Amino acid sequence: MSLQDQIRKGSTEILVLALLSEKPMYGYQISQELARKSDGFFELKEGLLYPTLHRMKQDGLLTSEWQKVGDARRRKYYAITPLGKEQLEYQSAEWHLFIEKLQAMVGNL
Amino acid sequence: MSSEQHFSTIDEVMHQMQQQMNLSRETEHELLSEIRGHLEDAVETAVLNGEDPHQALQDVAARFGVNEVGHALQKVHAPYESADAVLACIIPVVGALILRWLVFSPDGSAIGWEAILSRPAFWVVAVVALVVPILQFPKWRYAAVSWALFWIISVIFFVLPHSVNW
Repeated sequence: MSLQDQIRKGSTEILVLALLSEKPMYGYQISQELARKSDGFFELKEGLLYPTLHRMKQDGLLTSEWQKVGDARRRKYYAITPLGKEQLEYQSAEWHLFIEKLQAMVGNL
Repeated sequence: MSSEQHFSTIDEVMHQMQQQMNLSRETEHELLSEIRGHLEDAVETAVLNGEDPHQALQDVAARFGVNEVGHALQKVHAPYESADAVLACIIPVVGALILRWLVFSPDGSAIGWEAILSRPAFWVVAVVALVVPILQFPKWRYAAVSWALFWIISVIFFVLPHSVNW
């Protein structure tokens, strides 16, 4: 796994939390928004988003709700919980610290 | 799936993923419904962008990661299903044991159905044994099994009071 893939994998949770802090979204929408907002950098294997979403829901970071779309289709919308918002703040601080320290170490190379 | 594998329909893609899972029918149904919606949206978007429908399905399936997603979902959901199953067995047993305790007078003699049915404590236990599984389990089947087990064990205790008089 390349360094970029590892960073992507490790950052999926905070990216999902950041997106859902704006508004509730369904899985396909989340994957499209991730790709669009990062100009494709955070474009991941779309299906692998679902295990992450479900784990985050089990951890109490997200809630989900089926909503009808049209006559026959339904979509499962995910929304961030108060615990998820706390986790977003915590992870944001951790990432900022990580980037700051990394830049201090390698920034002058 | 090898890179040469082709899918003719979304159903075939779903089947590929379902084979990687061994969860309860309800859980699999919910997961696959969500994934189907994703695939339908993705194919629809690709076709609207001018892609051939058949090719769109191949691209969407490859991008989705059909070989990995089912396994990954299995890993996420299997522990919770096992924990639910254990709890679905524990709740009725505990409820029935409490009922059994209520059935016996302080002197160790069993009271009859009429007497037990007139006790508010009996109804509290019976309602709790019904409500807790319904609230606890997202699957009705687990709640129904838990409730049924509760009554089966309770009736055994009532019918055979002396054989379980410990």
